Amino acid sequence: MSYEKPNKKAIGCMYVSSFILTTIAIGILIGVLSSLPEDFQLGKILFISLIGLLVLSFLAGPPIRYRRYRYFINEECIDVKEGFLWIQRNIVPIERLHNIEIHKGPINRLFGISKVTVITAGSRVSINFLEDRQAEFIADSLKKRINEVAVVKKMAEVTKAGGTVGCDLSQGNCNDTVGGIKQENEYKVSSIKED
Amino acid sequence: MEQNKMRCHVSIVIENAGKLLGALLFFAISQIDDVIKHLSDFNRMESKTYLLGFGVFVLAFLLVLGFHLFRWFKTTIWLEDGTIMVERDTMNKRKNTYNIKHISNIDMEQNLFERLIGTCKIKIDTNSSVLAGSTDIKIVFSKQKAMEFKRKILSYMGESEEKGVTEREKQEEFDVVYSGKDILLHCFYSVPILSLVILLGAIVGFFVLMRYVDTSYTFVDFVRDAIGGVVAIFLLVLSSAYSLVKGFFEFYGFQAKRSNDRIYINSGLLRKNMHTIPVDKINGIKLVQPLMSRFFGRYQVEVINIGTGDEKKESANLLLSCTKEEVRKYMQVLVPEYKNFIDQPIQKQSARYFYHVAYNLVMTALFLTIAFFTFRYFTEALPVDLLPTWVAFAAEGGILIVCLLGFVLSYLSSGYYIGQDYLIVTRGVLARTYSMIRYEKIQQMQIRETLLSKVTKLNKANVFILAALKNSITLLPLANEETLEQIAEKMLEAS
Repeated sequence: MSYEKPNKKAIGCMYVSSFILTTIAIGILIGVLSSLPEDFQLGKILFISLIGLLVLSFLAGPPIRYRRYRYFINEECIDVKEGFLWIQRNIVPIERLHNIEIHKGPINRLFGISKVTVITAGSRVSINFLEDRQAEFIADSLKKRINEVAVVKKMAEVTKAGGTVGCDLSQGNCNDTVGGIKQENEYKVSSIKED
Repeated sequence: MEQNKMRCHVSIVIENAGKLLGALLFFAISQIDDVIKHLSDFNRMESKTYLLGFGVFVLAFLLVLGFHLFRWFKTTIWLEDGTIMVERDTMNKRKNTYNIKHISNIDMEQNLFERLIGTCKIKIDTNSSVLAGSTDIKIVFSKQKAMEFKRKILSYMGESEEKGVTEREKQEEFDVVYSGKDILLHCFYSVPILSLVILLGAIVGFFVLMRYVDTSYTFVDFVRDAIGGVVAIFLLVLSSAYSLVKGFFEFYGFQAKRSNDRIYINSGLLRKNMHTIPVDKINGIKLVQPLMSRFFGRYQVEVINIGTGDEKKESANLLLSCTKEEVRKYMQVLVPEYKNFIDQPIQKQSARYFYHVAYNLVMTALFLTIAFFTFRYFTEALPVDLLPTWVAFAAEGGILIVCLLGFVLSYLSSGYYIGQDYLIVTRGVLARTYSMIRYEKIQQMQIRETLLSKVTKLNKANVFILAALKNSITLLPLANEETLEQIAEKMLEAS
């Protein structure tokens, strides 16, 4: 199993998002710190420590997150590993996919990267920091794969019901005959959304 | 093409507006003697004020009734090309389309009012996690019309129902029937411990108070001096007592039957519920053992699917409190696809779990100590020492002991079984739950490796299934990477 690394632009994107969030958080902490009584040493130590940790997380976080971020897509599943303090791994079987979304937030647009989100009946998983063309390619490939899976499932259902079916997997079309009535069906992924 | 646009039965206006109308009526009736007294002398200013107030009440009553009546008139339902259309053409116009092929459950419910007037509520849920928090469609029809509507939907789904579940009245027709005694025992075995403790505490406290209080200080004196506290305690005791007996009303007449690929469940005394659960829409089975059930070796079985148990008043029970033998026997009949899971050997999680416990206890102690010193700082200036140091540390020690006890009980209850077709996860502290999930129903697996995991080699993991919020994520016991990889492989093989 060979994992793919995210695009190098991801580090810049991570630094920018991290900078914004860290600045807001430090601003709030400084505001609270300045309102604490002068002799409340324990509180001052705690808040100053928190600010220090936030600064450290801003400096060290993006390179560590970039080094740890990996994704893998094959015929069977999508596997995404990411994390800073702890590593989270999400595994989604391709056959469970219902929907594919492509997102580009304002920071992503600056760096020309996108996020592909795959949605199942009960969950969603994102593959971040993909170049725009790469995101489109992955979304299209997954869409084709979902159509193939849907067609195969339909073939199995119709065959079980005693009918016959002819399918063009590349187009995602099926003409099935059940009970002597020919039915033409298309199986398409429901949407590609862009912000 | 639209076919026969329908409206709900007009009684839904009373049901929807009932609570507010009831409150207004209650208020009016409580004031009626004052109103009559003051209206007798119309020239007095107070009479005119009362008349104005009464007019406002009547206006509010008419407004509420009118609003719901308008909403009822403007809401229509019809079947169109394999979909159920629900349109509300009020100021906030809405038109919802539900694909019949995606329907998970079609249930029928009759509360006391509906039974009196001969109507029935149909509750339809679709197989969607987005809409999993509540019932998607609720329609009230006359009983006859409701059954006809249900049959029509089933025919669209390519299914037929020889005999409706509401028509199954004879107990012999059901595979599982619980008598009144069984229901009472079920209530006993599933009693909520907190409610029992509160109720017992109130009873013991009352007798102690009566026994040892100064005899010159009567109960009337006591109630007068502490009326607010007495009312609050009374309400708490009442709600605890109610939680102990509501199971009887909820499960009275519980019957279950498997017919082809559907399970029919009837239950309820005041509110009659008739569930129809397609077996292929069952995403998991839960075996539940509340604390009392663990002592007496009893089990309850619940289904995990969209549409069952997603509302507070709905139960997801497939079987009430049974022995292990009875669970085996009934599961063989009702859901043979999930039989034998009760007999599978459960593997306990590794003892290295206690390193994680130690870490959690250290963090809890740190947090409590910081909280204590912060509290001391802000209350130093007060004349009374609200929290003496020894009390604080004793309380902290007590909390840590309770946490440790909880972790130990959790360790004793937690475990897993990785089968050929399904996964079983057991969890719990006082109560214990076995969740049985077929691999093809798992939508996603999430594995988390923390800093401590590098030392203990134990990772946390969740599996996601299609269910209402409380059941959609199943937390696995801490396990090593090989075990979690094994589960992931089985999930992918089942695709």
